[in-house]
Amino acid sequence: MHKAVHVTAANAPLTVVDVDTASPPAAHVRIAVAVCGVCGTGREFYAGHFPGLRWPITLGHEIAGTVAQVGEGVEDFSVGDRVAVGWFGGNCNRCVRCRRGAFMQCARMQVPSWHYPGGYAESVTAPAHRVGADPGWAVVRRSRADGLRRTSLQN
Amino acid sequence: MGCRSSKPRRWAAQDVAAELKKLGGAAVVLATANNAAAMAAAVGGLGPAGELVVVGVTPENLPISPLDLINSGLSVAGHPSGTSRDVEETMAFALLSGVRALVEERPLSQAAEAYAAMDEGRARYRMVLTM
Repeated sequence: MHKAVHVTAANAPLTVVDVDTASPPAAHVRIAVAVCGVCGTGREFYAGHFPGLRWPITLGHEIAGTVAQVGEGVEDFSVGDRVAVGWFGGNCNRCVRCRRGAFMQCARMQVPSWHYPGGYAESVTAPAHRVGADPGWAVVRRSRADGLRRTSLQN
Repeated sequence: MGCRSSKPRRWAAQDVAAELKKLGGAAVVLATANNAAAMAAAVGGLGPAGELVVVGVTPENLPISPLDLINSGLSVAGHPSGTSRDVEETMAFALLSGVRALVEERPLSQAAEAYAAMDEGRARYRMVLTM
């Protein structure tokens, strides 16, 4: 089980719930989320403005963390790897647009929070080929005198 | 990349177009705010052949007229964000250039409060949930 933030219907309150932690399917990785950005585009999901939403939804498409579990057939990631997933959370690699290299226009493109639960959660499962590697870097938080905090990437 | 810009500036509630023109006009305005009027207000600050790249999501109409675009040969392009490789290269750029995000952290248990801060424009400047 892990904690996730659910929105049960358009404009319903954000609530923290416990959800099952499933193993990742083939070609996917399960990520232990460290941080997730709160993007204004979340408003459009929250209001139900995107097509094909399946409630309850978990918002969050600015995700960074470490690989917790690797699905069958995934060769490029190991448990413990630092990774990130953004808006571009999956594509098919076989439609005309993908084969032309326009991956962002994939006819079957997937977005975390839209097509699968997003990053306002302790765990996210994403297609491995659309996860970005962060080898050798750590997310470090430093505070400033005026109270603002910066996320910092350091070797 | 080898280029160094002048000291970054922060503006609030000023004539953005006029300020950009004082600097010589922008080559690119990257419009991240979810506000069409704010995006359109920057168009007057573009230099010749300048480009407005729209990243902020809003269903509002963008109030830009053909006359705004033609004389300076301006363009407006939507950008739906990039691939996982773009994410990797962006992080590499941040490391090399010293660009860092200004964020406010909240634990997952405070997701509703963090969302409200974003929604009401109170975030300075990105709310980030931590697990």
